Amino acid sequence: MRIVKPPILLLLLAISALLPSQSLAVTIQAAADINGDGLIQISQSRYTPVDISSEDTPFLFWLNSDQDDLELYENWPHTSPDLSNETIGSLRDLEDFARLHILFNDLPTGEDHTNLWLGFHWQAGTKSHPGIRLWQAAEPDGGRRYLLNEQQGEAQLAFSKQHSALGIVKAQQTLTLRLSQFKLRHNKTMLPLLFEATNAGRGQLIISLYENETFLSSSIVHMELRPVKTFYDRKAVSWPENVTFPYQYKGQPPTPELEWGPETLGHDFVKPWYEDDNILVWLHGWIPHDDENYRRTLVFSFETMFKRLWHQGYRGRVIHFHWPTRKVRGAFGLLSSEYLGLKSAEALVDFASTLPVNKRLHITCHSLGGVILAESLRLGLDFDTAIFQVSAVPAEAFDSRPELIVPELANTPTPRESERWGWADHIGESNTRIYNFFNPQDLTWVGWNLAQKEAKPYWKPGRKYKYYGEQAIGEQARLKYWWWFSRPVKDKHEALAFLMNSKTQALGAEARVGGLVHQSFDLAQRPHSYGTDHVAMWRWNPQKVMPYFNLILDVLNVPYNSLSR
Amino acid sequence: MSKWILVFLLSVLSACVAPPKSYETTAELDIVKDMKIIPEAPELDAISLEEQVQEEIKTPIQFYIRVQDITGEPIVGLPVEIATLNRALNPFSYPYFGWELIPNIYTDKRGEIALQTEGAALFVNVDSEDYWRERGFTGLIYYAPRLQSLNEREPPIDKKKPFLVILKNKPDEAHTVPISTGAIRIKNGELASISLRNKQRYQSEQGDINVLISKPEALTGEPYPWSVTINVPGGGIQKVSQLPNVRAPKTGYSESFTFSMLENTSDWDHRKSFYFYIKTADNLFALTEFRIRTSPQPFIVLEGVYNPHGSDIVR
Repeated sequence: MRIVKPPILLLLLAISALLPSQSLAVTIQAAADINGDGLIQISQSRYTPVDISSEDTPFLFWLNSDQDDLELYENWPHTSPDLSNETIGSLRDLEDFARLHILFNDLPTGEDHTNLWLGFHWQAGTKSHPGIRLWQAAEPDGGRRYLLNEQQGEAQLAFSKQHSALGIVKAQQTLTLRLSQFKLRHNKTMLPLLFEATNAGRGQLIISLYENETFLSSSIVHMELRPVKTFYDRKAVSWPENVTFPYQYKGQPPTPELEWGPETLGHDFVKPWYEDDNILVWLHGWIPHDDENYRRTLVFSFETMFKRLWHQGYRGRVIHFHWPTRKVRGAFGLLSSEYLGLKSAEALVDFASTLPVNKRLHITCHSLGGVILAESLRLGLDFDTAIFQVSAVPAEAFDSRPELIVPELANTPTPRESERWGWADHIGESNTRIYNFFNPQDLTWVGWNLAQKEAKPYWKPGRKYKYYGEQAIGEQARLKYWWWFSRPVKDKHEALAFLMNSKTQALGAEARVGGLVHQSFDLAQRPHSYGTDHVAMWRWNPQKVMPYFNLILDVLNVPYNSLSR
Repeated sequence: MSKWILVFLLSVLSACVAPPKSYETTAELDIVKDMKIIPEAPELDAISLEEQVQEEIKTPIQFYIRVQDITGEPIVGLPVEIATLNRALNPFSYPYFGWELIPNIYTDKRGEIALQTEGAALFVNVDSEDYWRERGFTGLIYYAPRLQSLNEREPPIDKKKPFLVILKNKPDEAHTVPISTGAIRIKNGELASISLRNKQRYQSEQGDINVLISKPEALTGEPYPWSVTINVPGGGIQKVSQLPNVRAPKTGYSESFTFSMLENTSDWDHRKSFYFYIKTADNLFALTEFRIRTSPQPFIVLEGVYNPHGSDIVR
């Protein structure tokens, strides 16, 4: 590797262009997967679109600014972000890499190409300083198996360790590589590369081929590299500081006025040029409520989901909707979070009403996010598709058939009928097509069932919810405080969260649920086989879970990429 | 110490609540409904049959199996897929039984598995990337007295006489190649040619299969009629109507398959999946799921395997 300063390089290019050519006729063409179809198509084809970048349609990719240096899951805080070092940290790190193919035409065969050089440099505006670190891909055909197959991922890691990074291309610095190191053998051959983005910026990556210092050919790939948080939109609902949980109030608790607004986290969403007609809203589950842990969880879970969907071809908008939760040590805060979810639904419905009606609207939730989504559907949220991923919301809210009742859960004083503020048929009717991704082996349901049976009605020293079935409607649910005082519970959300236990399994545990659910998919079965893991879809390395992302895209009727190449 | 007390208390309390059960998914059920692995029992009315099925799922099951290689050495730690038909479908309709997969079943140090449970039947599958079944039955074993006549041999209820399954290293011809096309856009009303081999996301100049999807151009949100025709020129297509076998059938192929969804169909949907055996014009066999999606723009996805050696082995 040698470094050539751009002015000298340009001078060489100019001189070489003026000289009568007696050099080789070899040409190069470079491309990245501009259209996200999983293929890099360089030559013209009748059916497969050619990946042509332009200033308006650059290859967009995110900075490798997280820290994937563990065998499983990822590191926090990012004290040594992946872009800062010359190693591919793990199988998970590979999802922060993209592919670059260079096709050679008329390359002399039977030579070792010691006199041929490849140069990489950026042409960018004065204020833009994009940077990438290049690696040779282990797969000779430059496929995506390193992301789809654990063995191929390991092979890429081993290959990268053996060969190390090819170098960095950044502003004012050209990377030059001797072609002989790649051992290209055929007349028409392709050099497959991987790269990670090290510096944000927008520009033309110019790849040039020289015979010694004689320019032969060049090719351009327009790129835009930016922080991952600019790829998706974020909205948040915040809980008013002057309102606490309802069991703290001896009188009727105030109704919190919840509003949604943008959540920047240091970066605004920038609409990608390729955005199609799909909008996917993501509702997280029961996550920590302090800022540091929220940011960590966002990176670990949602951003990982976003990246995996992107790799499988999703090019619609993704919006992370942050609703307030309460999570303190252990399992404390679950019921309060159910309450917060129920209360936040109105803000979600309000936000949804601002989305363009001519788009295809999808929404998905994970775990306790099922509560806010179910309540939003009750309030009339009308989307094309809703996916409940291992959702911690009563199955009976979707399907009240008695067959789903679990006797141990039903043996409580509270009712199940919706008109008496129980969970059965809570949603009512919905035009949204609902899918249920369930996993009966998920350990979460042990705790969830336990909470339904033992933690409801909620009590704490000096406070206790009670249900008096023999009392008149409106007086049955009460909050007792101290020894003899009590007040009626007049808010259905308060009753659902703190008093009314589910009489069925959670939706995410239940295969039999019909009613509002159009179709269910078992994550305990192949090809997912998530076992007891509640968050395998983002905790496990991408090579083990990509079928899950095709499943998501399939039920959204969004075309998706192959799982084999 | 306190941690262990907490764990103990949690265990005791969690035991108060029935754990969730693994039932078949609706997607799987759609496929199984087409299979005739359970007799339809027309001689019984629906109520009597349901009562019968409720009884049959309580049938005691004893099952013993030994897995060894061709030299007689036990194969240790081999995963074996076992499912029990241990619940009645609700709503009650054919094939009447739901099943529960029993997770994490492996052969022990003697290459054996012993199982005692309840159910009308047991599905057993010894499936391995590395081995090939030389000899020995796997499949459905019926325990309910009414169904026992369907058994090809006596259920292995005696520990001293386990089912013997002999495996050998997989021959080359048993190595299949995955098919995963990703989504291939199909233009409404236009014939698209699809290749099973090394082609993804797009149709081919000359593929193995032709697909035609027809639907109205403009969608209103209401159910609409659509249809798909799958044609294998010079070869054949056959819907999977039994639990897929190791080998694709040699006969019974048609050159094309057509499915029509009318707008007034009670379970109307704009998407549908099918499982097919495919025999290409150049005599390659494949076992493939076809996912047909028609809204808003049609696309088709093929997932499965084909055998590149020309053998009919497809699992």
